[in-house]
Amino acid sequence: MKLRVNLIAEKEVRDCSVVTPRFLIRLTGALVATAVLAVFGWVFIVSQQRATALKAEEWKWGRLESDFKQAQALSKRLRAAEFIVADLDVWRTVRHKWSDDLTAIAVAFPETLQLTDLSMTRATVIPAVVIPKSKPGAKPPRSPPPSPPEFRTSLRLTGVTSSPTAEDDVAGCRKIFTEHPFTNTVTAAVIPPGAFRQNPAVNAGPNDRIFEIICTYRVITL
Amino acid sequence: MKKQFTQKEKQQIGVMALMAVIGLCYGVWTLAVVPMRKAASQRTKAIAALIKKNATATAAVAAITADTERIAMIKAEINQIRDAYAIRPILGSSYQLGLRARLEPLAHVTGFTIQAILVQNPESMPRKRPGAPFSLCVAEIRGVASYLQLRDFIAAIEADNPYVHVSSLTIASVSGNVRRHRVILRIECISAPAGESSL
Repeated sequence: MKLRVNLIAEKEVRDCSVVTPRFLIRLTGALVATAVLAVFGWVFIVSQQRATALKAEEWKWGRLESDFKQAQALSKRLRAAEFIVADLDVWRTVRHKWSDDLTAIAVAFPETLQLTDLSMTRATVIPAVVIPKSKPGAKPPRSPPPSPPEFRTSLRLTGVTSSPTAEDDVAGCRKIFTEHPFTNTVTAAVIPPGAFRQNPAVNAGPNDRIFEIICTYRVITL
Repeated sequence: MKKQFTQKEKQQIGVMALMAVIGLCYGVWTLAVVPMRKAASQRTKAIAALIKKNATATAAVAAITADTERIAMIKAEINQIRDAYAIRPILGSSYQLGLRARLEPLAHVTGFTIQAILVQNPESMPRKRPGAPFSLCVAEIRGVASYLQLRDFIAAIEADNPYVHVSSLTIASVSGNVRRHRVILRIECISAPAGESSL
């Protein structure tokens, strides 16, 4: 039987393996320190890069600023000029050629009718803007932009006739405004109630009548 | 002689060292990393905004030449319209004379007899825009003509100037003369002050 005697006190025992607890502690400490330094270094580098990039962009802006202000002023002038040209274009485009209408009326007007009065009026109307109601306590809604003006045109023809076929002739005259060239411009042509009647003039005969036709034109928005 | 620590002391030292390390890490994180990250984040946002601003500015600056040319073209177009079609005041402030000078030759050619021309003060045109180079001139023309002469007169006005609108027309028969009618014609046309306006 072999006897094994250990004369080293327990506190004097040393671990002879390479991976000692002390080594592990040092390694962990070194790793933690490296990680902390790496994170710190990374954040520092990123921060410095951003600072450099910001300075570069600020320098660029500094060089561009005065030119940009000039460009903005020029752009504003251009927009204003384009608005003026657009306004003029609209003004030219929406024009109604009355000479064409007068020609068409002269050509198609029945010979049995005599026109005594012609009256055309065009009113420029700016439609009212409807402001939406706001809920109590809520912020009032922004008022919508003003509506563009509208041209509302009407034409009134008054005449006399002593023709026995006056009723048909006046109806035919009204029909002129439902055909070319009025198809696209006149929306309604009516003989108002009571407008086709006996001529009230003192020297008027039994066949003498007066008539009236009222035409409403398509509304044109500027 | 090296001091020998007991197991308990070793544990206490270990715990203290660990706490010190955690405290150090927390301090570095709070006092250095977080502010730097915050600053970097703010700088990133500022850079993005500046890049966008610079790109817009670069594009706007690059368009200066084109815009200048376009303004010159529009100005030439407006000047051409003004010279050819706008009613100009004659003798300082009379738009009436300017309009009469344009209408009388047309009336003469078509046989329309102008009895009176009344011109209202022009308003900025067509939207009420102060500083616009044009204004809207409203004129009432009273005259005598046959139906066909009136039609020809209106046709001549419309052919002469595409910016003239006939806004009202009244034809009333003259008793005893079926060939001649009393006419009240209201026109709206573009007008421009005598001086050169800048766009």
